[in-house]
Amino acid sequence: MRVEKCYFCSTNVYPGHGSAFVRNDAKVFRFCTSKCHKNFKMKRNPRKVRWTKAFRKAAGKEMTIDSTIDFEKRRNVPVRYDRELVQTTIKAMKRIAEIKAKREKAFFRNRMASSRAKQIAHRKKRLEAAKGSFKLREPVTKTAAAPEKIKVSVKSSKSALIPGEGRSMGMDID
Amino acid sequence: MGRLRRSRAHHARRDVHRASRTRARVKDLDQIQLIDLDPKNRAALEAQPLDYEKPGLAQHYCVECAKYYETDHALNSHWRSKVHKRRLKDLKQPAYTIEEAERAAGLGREGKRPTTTTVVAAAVSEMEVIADT
Amino acid sequence: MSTSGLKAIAPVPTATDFLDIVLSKTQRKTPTVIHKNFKISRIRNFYMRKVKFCQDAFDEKLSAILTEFPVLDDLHPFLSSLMNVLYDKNHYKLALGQLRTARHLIDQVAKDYHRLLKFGDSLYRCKQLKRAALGRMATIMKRQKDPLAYLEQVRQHISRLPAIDPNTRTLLICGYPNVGKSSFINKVTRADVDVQPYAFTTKSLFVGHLDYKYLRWQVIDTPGILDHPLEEMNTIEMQSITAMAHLKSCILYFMDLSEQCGYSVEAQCKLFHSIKPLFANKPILLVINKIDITRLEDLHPDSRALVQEILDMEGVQNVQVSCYSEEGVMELKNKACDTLLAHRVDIKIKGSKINNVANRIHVAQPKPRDEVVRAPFIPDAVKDKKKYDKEDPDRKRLLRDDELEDGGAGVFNINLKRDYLLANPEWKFDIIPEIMDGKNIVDFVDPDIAEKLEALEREEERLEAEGFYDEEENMYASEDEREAVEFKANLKSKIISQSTKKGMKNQARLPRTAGLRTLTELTEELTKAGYDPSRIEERAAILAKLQGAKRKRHEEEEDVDMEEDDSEGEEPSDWEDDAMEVDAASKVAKRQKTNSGGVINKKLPKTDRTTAGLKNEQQYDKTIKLRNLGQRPRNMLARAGEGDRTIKTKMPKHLFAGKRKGGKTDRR
Repeated sequence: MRVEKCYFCSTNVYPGHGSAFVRNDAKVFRFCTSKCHKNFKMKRNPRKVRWTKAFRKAAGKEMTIDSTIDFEKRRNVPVRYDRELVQTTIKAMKRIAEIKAKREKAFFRNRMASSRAKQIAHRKKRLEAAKGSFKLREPVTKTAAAPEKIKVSVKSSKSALIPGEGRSMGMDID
Repeated sequence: MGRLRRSRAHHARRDVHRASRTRARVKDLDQIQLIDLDPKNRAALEAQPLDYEKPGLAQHYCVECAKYYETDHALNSHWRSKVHKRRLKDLKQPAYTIEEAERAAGLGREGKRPTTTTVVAAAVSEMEVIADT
Repeated sequence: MSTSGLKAIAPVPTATDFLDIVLSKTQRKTPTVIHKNFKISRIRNFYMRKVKFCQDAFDEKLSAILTEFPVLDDLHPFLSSLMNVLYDKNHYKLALGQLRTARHLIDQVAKDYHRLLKFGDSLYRCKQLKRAALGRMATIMKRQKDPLAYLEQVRQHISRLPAIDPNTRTLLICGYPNVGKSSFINKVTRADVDVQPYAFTTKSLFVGHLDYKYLRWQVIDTPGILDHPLEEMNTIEMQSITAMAHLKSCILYFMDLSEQCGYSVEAQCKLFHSIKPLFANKPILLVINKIDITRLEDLHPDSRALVQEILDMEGVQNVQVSCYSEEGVMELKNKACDTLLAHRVDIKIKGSKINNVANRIHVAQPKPRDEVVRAPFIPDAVKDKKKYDKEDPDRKRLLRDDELEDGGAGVFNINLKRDYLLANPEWKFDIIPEIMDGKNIVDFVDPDIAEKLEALEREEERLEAEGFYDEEENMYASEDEREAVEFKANLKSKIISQSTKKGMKNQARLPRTAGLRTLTELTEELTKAGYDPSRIEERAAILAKLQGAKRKRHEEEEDVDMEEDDSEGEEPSDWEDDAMEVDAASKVAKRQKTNSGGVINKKLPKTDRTTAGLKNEQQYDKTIKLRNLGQRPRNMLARAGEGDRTIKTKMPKHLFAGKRKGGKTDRR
């Protein structure tokens, strides 16, 4: 059993989830949701649909070249089970994920670097504009004591909801 | 008895549900790019033996569009048409495949099988060589 | 069952059936929808196809009959003359000939009308031409009534003929009627031929089989024959004659010396002489039957001389039997078979074919090439192998033993992991992890992952050193600005999350408090923004006081009302005792409120309708019980109530399937 990837949006498809289409050349197309399946049936190219992973990769919005990426691979070579190897693999997987996340963050920062100056300028402009409309005041320290709580004694009263004499849910005939 | 209505009055009417039936499926772009456009296969597809089940006895086949035509004339006019040209343009880009979906998800693949990318790159370089000479 | 050389023939339909078959086939297998506004070429083709198809169907059926019935000249002479005797050669040929002509005529008709249809100018004309064509074909076929009926009879008769193989080893029994031929065949074979004490009990050929010397022998019982010229013989006798004339066999000529059969010894001898020409080149056994009554020795000298005359002839052997006492029956059988076998071998050796076979026979004998003895080699391991013994305590352990230990057949399941070949056998039964953190572990498993990770770590160190991960310079001018931006971002995400949450609900409902702001919230924000909230606070206090006073007054008034109500309600009516007892109303001090704090002022209805018309609580409980009981079947069907309707078929096939042209789906 393995986690497959959606053909359209490349998200994980866990065992027992999603749907699959098998083409007559035995290629299996897996879909995470009916949304992806429908888009496939419409013959859309995932590279041109903005919400897919393929688009993000193709448009340079995500890291495509990195040494961490080479670790996860479909290797078509069977390897005999080895407990030690699996143990090291699992440890390595965790470490790799850590490094990858770090690098992705750095990638994002780099990607955004060009727009940073622009962003700061924009914000400054906005603040300037806002300043014109009102005056900033110094915060006042609270002098007045907390408003005294007024206690009002509530007289016990009968509720209309509770059946009582005279208005009970008796056998009255209207 | 009046005139019988044609089954499809509007040629441009698109019915995704009908077109996506498996029995109405045609070859996908990646299949064409990887297999059909290979010169050897292409020659075989263009010179098919007589087949009584296919339109025009399978004698007039457009490899790019994976479509049979009734006559040579129809095939020629199709080659001049917008549909065909659009298809040629589509085929210039490497087609999207399952491998690409997996690569986008961070799952690589090992092996030397030709992919749509390599096939298209090879075709482009070949074209350049021809243009140079 | 049919004779070899005569294959099973498919039934021949009568003329009317024939027509029905062909015409309905035409109707079924050709298109049926045509309109006059179609192109004329299409209309013509439509009818031409019908005519052609009909002709093809006739042709096919007739040809099948013509090929299936055997051609007499091609058959074995015995079968051919047997069929001639039984069915009359001329009649048979005539019938087939007529069918052949009919086929030809039908072809011609179809051809003519096909040509005419090419010039049909309207649907009507074409249709008439087609009708005429089919009509004429039908007329031709109707005329073949008699030949078809005759052929059907022949077919049925052929299918009942015994399976006589003309080429195998055959014993042929013949003689006068009632001399004991059938009794003999019943004795030696498993055939069950009817035996009766009158002449011509057997009216056709019968076949039985016997085994002798591991060979299969065919015994043919023929009907009795009388001594008269060939022309005067009837069909029954003629069958015997054909068998005698054409089968290469051993002839057993049966005689009854006791004359119980009703024919004198003299007559029987005479018959032998008259049919003698048919026995040329065949071994003959003269069988004297019924010796329990009369033996050859007992016979009158005159008659005996006649018999002796036959016995003296070349190739005639004598056997005496009694089918009644079974005396000599087996001897007769053995003798007949031996004679025939010898005869057949004689003929074969005399023939020219034997040389071809004799030349081919060669028996090879291996010769030792030297003096070395070459004994077969058996490995020691095989020699030492102990024979498996169930009782032996140190026997080899089989999977079968495992099965018995682990619950026996049906319970035991083979664990395939048992046979894994791993570096350490302890790992065999490990549960191998497959998925971790949304990733397949298999995709990462790589024999040199450790080295690769090492390389990655080194790269990581290098990058750290280079300052790849260093935070860039601060984006914000001041801490306040950062706070403001973050606050804004938080607010935005909060709004988005709330709106999605709201969108998930199927109703647009806000709590009463959603839009409300507390006084503290207001003052806090105002102070933060630099305004003085003291005036607002003062005003809020005044308003709260006013509100409190108002509520107090209102409550007092209400209490008075209630007291009045109570006094009114205290007057009991006469039937109060009968009335259902309700829990004594406990006076609740607190004012009822909704969950959101709103005061409920709504008055309750005066009577409770659920209990109307019921005497007491027991009765009420009973009604509830009865109601639940009545609803049980519906509850079991998961229905809300009797009004809950089900739609059995959401899309009835007849409303949604079928053609969509010429009419709408709602008009059906």
